Amino acid sequence: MKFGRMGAASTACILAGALLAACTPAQNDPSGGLSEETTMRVAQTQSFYSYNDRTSTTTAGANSTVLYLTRGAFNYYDDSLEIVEDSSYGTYDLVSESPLTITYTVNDDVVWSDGVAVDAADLLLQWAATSTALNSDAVNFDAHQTGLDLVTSVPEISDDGKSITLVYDEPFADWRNNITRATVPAHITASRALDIEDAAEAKEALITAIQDGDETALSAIAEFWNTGYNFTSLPEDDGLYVSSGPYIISEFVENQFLTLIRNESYAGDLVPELDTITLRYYADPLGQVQALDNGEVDLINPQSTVDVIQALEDVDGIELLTGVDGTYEVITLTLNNEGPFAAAGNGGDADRAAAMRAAFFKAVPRELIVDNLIKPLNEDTEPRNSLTMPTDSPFYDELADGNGLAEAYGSYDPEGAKQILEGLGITEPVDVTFMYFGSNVRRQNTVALVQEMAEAAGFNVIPDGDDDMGNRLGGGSYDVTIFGMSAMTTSVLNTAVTYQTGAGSNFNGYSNPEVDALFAQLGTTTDEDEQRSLLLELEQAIVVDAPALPLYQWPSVVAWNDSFAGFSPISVQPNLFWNFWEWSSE
Amino acid sequence: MFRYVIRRVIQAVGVLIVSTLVMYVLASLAMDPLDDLRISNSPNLEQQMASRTELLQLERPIIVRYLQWASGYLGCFVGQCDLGTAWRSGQDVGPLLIGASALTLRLVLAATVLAIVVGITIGVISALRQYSGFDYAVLFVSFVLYSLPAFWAAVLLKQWGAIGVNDFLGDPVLSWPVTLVAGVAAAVVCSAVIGGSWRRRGVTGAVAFTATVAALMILTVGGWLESPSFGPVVIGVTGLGVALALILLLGDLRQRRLLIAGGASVALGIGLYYPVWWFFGAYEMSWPLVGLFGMAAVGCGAAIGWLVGGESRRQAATVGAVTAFTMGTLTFVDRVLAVWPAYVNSRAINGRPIATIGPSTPGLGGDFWVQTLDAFTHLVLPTISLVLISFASYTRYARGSMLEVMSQDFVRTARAKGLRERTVVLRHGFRNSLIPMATIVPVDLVTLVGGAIITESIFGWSGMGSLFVTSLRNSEIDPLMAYVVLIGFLAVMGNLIADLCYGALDPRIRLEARR
Repeated sequence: MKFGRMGAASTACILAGALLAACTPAQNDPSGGLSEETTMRVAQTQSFYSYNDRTSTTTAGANSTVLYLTRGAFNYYDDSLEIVEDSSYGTYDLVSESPLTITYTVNDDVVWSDGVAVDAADLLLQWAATSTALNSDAVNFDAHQTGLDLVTSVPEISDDGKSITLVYDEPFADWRNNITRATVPAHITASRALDIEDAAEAKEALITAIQDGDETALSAIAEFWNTGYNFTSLPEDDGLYVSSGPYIISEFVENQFLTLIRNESYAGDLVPELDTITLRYYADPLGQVQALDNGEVDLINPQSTVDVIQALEDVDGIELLTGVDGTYEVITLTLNNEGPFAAAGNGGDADRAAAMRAAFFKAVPRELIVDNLIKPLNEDTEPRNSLTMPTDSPFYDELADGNGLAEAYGSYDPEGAKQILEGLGITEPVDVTFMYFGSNVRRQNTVALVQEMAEAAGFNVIPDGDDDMGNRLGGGSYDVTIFGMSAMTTSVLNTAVTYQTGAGSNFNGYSNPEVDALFAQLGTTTDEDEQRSLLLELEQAIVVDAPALPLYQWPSVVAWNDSFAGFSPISVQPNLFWNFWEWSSE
Repeated sequence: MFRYVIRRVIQAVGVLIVSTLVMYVLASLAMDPLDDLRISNSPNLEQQMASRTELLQLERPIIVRYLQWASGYLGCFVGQCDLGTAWRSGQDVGPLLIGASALTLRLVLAATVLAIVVGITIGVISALRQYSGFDYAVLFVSFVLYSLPAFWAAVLLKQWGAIGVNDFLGDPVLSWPVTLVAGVAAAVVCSAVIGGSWRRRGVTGAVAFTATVAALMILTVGGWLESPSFGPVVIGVTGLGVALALILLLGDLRQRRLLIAGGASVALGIGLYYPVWWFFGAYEMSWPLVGLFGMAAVGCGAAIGWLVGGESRRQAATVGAVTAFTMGTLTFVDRVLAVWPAYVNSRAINGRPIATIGPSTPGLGGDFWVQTLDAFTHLVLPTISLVLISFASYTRYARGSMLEVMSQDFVRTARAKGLRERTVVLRHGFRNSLIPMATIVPVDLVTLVGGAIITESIFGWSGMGSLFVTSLRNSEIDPLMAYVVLIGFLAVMGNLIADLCYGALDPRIRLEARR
């Protein structure tokens, strides 16, 4: 009986299954339908989060990289940091020097990937959003391109709608970096912000709103421009990721990866060899090395440390390239406290303070620091001698040779330092507080080297490691500090914010009317040769004052699977991606 | 009881409010959202500072910001949740939290279950073999693992468990010395576990040695690793083993009804092996469908057990259900393994299946089975690393608790009644030794949902742990507080559930509480 019941139940179950099987045509395909495509996978530390990298919260390498691959642009940096114009996108012409007038023209065959042409409307939006000229209580574009705010009148659009003409109120040195591309599409912005279906109508509405200063429309446009392009996985609205460049986003999984494929509607010259590029988001440097070893990524660009370099040397089948990063290490002395390097600490004698500063710099063992800490990571590193330009910039050699830094206090000279101190009547060791970011091992070692070597010169360095140093900057609670300064571009004005009187990151209270005047003059000089000589004059003036001593350019490392080729990273954005169209695989 | 629960819930709400307030104030004081700007040399620095101060309302007192933040949560009661924004990327915290917790659950669930099962099993065995070589060995190993730094273990795992294993899989040959050493190791461990007279140990060791060597030969020389599969026979034998183990635990091998229930479930599983494969091929598979399939297996097994169980139908149903579920799971895994050769040789995998980063392979393509296999190959290393670290504590708890139970009077009584040692250990000792575990497991689960911060970041899983760390690093208070609220809530609930469980399992506690 019981067996009968059990048997019946089992039989029923099996029969039901068999019946189900018999009734349905089934295929068990063990091939799994896998993708046949090869992609090149690049490990990236930070995940992409905005398709508009011009707002104050979205300016980040993670975003700019993707935009570099998906936007045509008027120009780009090559590996000697020269600006190269891409005439297949468009042209910009200096129409007049006074007033500074630039005409930008986009080529006829340049289109967004949805088929809508890239034209003056896109450039007009770029100006409107980043110049702050239209901002008011109601309109708030959250962006500010320095120098573009000098264009206060609405730029004129040509009759064919392809050109836009910017007139500067004052000359501006760095106008080339002000508008380099149409970052976001005008038709998408206007159609989403103003709820207009048709692209042409949307563009028209945007142009009218900007020209008429229509605050209601502009406020909606600004709102969308600020946040509408933020996404952390592929958005449903495919208009949000249209492309005007060689690649277009095809897949984006939050915090994991972003895949770019060829943009079929791209008609420009920078046609890439690789069909797809995948950015894999993963931060741990040693983990990146292991992932490269395990064939999960093909190209890594981790933060360079001794561990990473050693681990990479043990990996087979890869190529390794060390170089310089855009950030450089700099020692800064405090001029606005009561310490040994400030006038106030020298009885109000500014010249005496300057001599003290020069003496301290003579006591800093720059070669030793570079040899011990940086050369193991990048053999070619030399101490950086320019205050304004990275070592791989075309301006560098001239500046480093001519600014007098190397002669004044470029190499370790304890005797020279001692002589200066004795000349000032100082015989006792001078106490100096050296503040640095305490958990940074490289800085710990740097400060230890300075402490040890400066003793012979008559300085008693008191290390002050503090992870909260950001809050203390400018407060005068230290005499010396060390941090990294970075430059995204090779703009001649990059360091104005550090050395101009009262500027945003002038923390040490450095002030020299001559330097201020030179910066002001540099800001309005558009001729490159003139810029060069002004910059040299400026550096010479700063070197005499000795407010800061650059140490070295940070080392960088790139390693890739040797079945790929064509990499030649640069120190400014977009770093390693600058020549993506030359990347190739076997 | 009801009043007790209410009282606990009110306490919990109070704890939550106080802890969020403290956390909010501390985090606000510690965070410096302008940190990166302070040492920036961007030309429009002042404008950036101003707009960020405005955005984050930094000029307002912390307590005002706290109230504002809290009001967003209170909105949840009227259906208007506002958990805030991760201001650097402009993301809403809600989706961020859901994505992160889903990923973390995926990561820790298998690891937790495995750690509990393995940890308790080893702990109990080591209690039964107290002061033997095995006991000391387990003590030693578990303390080593307990003190293992997670990041170091993970890096080693990647080196040997992924890079090494992938190299091995490319050319799966084991040298004879390695095979023999593995066999000897298995022999030593097994004979220590089984114990008994020297003769018995010798036999056990010999069997274990032969089995291990044979298995390794099949895996490598036999080519199993290149196209792995189980087939109905292996699944049937495994199912039988599970059924027997369950019967031992729940009843007695002489209970014919239990044997019939287990045997019938195994027979059913084997009988349905091919039909199920057809079913897998015939329908577009998805996880809900797999869930249904699992429930069907459990249902069929339970039904068989219930029908044949007679007076012990509850045990019989359990035996049937668990056996059927095991068989179903193995059949499912077998189908997943069928895509292994294609997966390993695909472009994206390129012969290196064990992954070291992320939860999936980009650009893999493939159907449900490939995706499932891919998820497994990405889970292997983080799971092992989590299990290694967390199972040690379960071993210690289980051992202690088992020893305590085994020295109780009722165990002596059971022995005195003449019950077999097996019955005494499994039914009287083991089951009671699990009661204290009920207080540990819920709390542990919460800790795990909080995210294995180090494991997550090293394996590139952006779950709860990395949400916490990233928000802290980015000075984003909203996602940080969302984390605090969720984990705080779960912690309070976990403790409550643990207490209630304890009361439900152990009548003495209830009596005590009533007094």
